[in-house]
Amino acid sequence: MVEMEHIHYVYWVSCLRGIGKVKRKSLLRFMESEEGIFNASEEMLSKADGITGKDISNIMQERDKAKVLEDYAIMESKGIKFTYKGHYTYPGRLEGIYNAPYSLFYKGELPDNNKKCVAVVGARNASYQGSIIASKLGRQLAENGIQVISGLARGIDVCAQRGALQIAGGRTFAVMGCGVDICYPKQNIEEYMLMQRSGGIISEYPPGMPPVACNFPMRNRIISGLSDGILVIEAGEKSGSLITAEAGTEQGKDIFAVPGDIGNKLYYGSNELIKNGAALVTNIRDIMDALGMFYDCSADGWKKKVDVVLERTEKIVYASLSLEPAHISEIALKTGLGIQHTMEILTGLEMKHVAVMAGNNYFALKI
Amino acid sequence: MYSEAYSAIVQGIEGRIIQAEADISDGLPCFMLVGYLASEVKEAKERVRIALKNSGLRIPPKKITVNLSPAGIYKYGTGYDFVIAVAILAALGIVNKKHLGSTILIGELSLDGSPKAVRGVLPMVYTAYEHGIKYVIVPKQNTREAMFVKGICVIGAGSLNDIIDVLNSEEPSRFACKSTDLDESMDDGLESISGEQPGFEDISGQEMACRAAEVAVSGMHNLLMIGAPGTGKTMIARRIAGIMPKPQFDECMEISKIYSVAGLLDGEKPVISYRPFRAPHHTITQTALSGGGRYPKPGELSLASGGVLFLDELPEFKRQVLEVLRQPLEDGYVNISRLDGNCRYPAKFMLVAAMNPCRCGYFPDRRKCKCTQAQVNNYLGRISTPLLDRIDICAETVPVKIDELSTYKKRNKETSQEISERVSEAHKIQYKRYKNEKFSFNSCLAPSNIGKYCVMSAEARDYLEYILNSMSFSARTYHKIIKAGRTIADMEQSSNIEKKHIAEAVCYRSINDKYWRGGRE
Repeated sequence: MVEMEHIHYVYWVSCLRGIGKVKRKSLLRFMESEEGIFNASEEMLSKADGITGKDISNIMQERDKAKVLEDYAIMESKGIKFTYKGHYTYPGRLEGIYNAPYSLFYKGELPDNNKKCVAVVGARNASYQGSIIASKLGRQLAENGIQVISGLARGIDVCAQRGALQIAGGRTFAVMGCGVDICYPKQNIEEYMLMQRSGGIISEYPPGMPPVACNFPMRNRIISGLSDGILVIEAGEKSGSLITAEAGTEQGKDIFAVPGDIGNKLYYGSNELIKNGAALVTNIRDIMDALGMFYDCSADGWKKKVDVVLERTEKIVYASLSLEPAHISEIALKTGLGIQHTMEILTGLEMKHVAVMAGNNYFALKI
Repeated sequence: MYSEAYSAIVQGIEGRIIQAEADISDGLPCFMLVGYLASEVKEAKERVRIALKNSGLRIPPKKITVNLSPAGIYKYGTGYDFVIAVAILAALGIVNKKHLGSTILIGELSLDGSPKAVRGVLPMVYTAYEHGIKYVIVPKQNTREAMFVKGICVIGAGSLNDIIDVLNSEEPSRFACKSTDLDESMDDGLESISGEQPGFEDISGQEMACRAAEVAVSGMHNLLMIGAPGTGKTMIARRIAGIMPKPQFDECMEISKIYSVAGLLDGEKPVISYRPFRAPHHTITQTALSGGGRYPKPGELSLASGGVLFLDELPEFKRQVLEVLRQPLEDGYVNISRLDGNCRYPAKFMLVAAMNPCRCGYFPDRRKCKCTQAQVNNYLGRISTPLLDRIDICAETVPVKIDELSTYKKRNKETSQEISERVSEAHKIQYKRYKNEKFSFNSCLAPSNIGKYCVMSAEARDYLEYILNSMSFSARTYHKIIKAGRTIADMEQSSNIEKKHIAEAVCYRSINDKYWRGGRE
């Protein structure tokens, strides 16, 4: 029979039901090692602070070497890898942070310590404008070899990660608030699958952990911890992204924020961050400068340089477009062209790849 | 002492002639009424007896039997009092039998012998006309409605004694209502009714939705409007009936027949000569929409026939209720089966629906909308695909800013009248094109006919192909775009569908699961 190694003991402790951070700490303090907990008698266990009778019976029940080894093998066969604080694969960036995760489960890989990482976080109910800014910045970060960290949440998170995935060799990592074998939210299954090949899915929770609300603020410290800088796009007044930014500040990371209309509630938190000293970001260069990276490209602005020839009326319509999607009838009103004519020109602009339809009959600039 | 007189009943919206036979013979005095009767018809016995007494006529103490035939058809309603009274009077010899064979009697009697209005007079009189009946006697309240049928002599009775006078006269036609004064008043009535309808000139902004409404009417396509609250969806919908071409005589007749059967015609509004606009509330039941009941009555679908059925807040309607729409939208009629037979009501309406893009109504404006993407999808998902498939044109309404309202006011706006004229032209083209087909509008084009009637220019075909590939539309959406394109081409009197027509039609495609891409690039 194969003997249990240290990693198996750590794995066993990480998966213990009902044993959270605090109880784990107290057990480790008392028993000194994971092996100690495994082999401790009931009497010994009951001496540790905060350990109840139920916890003890749990521990006793799970104390089955064969089963632990089998579970570990099953987990590995599912492509889930395991590391813990002190292990050589454990991300160096996390080691120093306050409240560093005890262990990590991951699919794919962990972020490369030698490459820069930037977290992109923001509103789940993002506007179209925010989504495409996230997507474009995510793409550009990946283009410049920066790893994109986020939470695979709806809205800004997934848009940035989707952007990074569009680049060949682009790497992006999702830190989950549930087990790594669960895709939450399930709509983002496409990105979830792709990320296992070009990046990774990371979680401090054991596989099978359902996405419960209280886990999510906790994972934010890992997002910020894994990153060199945190980019916030469209954070509202009470956005969870602000928790990430705050954790980042404590960990001494750079905070970046995309500014927005001061009257727009979606940007309240972002603007507040800038007011408190976050770096204002309007393009990728702002981030790379702050990270001390070199860039060779003349990073383009938001308005794509139009290299196709536009007719006079097309130019008029093009000039009236912005990143914020406008409905055909609004564009028709602005340009003074008839509704029918506007429709024809807009579909023409879309064919020329300078405009994009952002919803039914809502058009925006393509960037 | 036997006699016969004739009346009519309504089945669906068609009339049917029935016969009343009366026999007076010796025996114990009694009054028998037979012939598969509903209780309100059985009660006619008491009304007739007392009305006769109060009109100064005495019924002898004999055995009176009245049979309404054919006895196999269930008879309900209150229009048989006249014919029962007259059949008895004829059997007694008080009324001359000479004209009875060429007269239809329809009407309810009050206890004092005066007549009361009944419903369904128009289809009954029309049937009488088709059967070559010469005279029709109706309560005077129903005269204007009955007069709508030309070529039959309509006599309005003010009392039971009037009926006796008419039938005993040598030439009943001298009692006929004068059509001249009636025509005038009818035209006046119409003027005032159509004058009340609000016009498109009242609408500020919403060019796309207005244009979509015009296209929809031009090809009789069903229309769906999506937009935030207060952007004018209802306002536009209310004006759509007004830009449809005036109904022809046959259409007026059909619409009026439905309203007659539903009991919605009266002295003020003897016929319906405008396009109906029906806007049932979203709490409506299936039966109220389709029609039905123990004694079938037309529902909202039929009342909207020839005009507009407006369903505001479409997702709020119960799912089963919306599914009722599917068959009528395809076939143009509603079939109602009851114990005593089937009846078919026309339901050739144009469906106009309005809805908010999400529960709070402000999507995609994220400043106001707090709905999650899942909630938005859920809201849109309440409309079933089979129903959406039957809606060819979809338009969004966008919020108009206050300062823009004044800009719009300065512009010259088209009146409903002007739009209506253009629509008529487009309809004429379609009537001509489809003269050998069973349908007459572009909206009815089946996929098999699209190749035959929708000829696209090479440029348009390439363009459509490009759009299809880049936006990944389904085959059904493809057909809808071509149908709408055909209508837009007809509006410009173009025999081929050009690129610009397709470009516009693409913008009217219906919502689908990719409606709001949720910021996907």
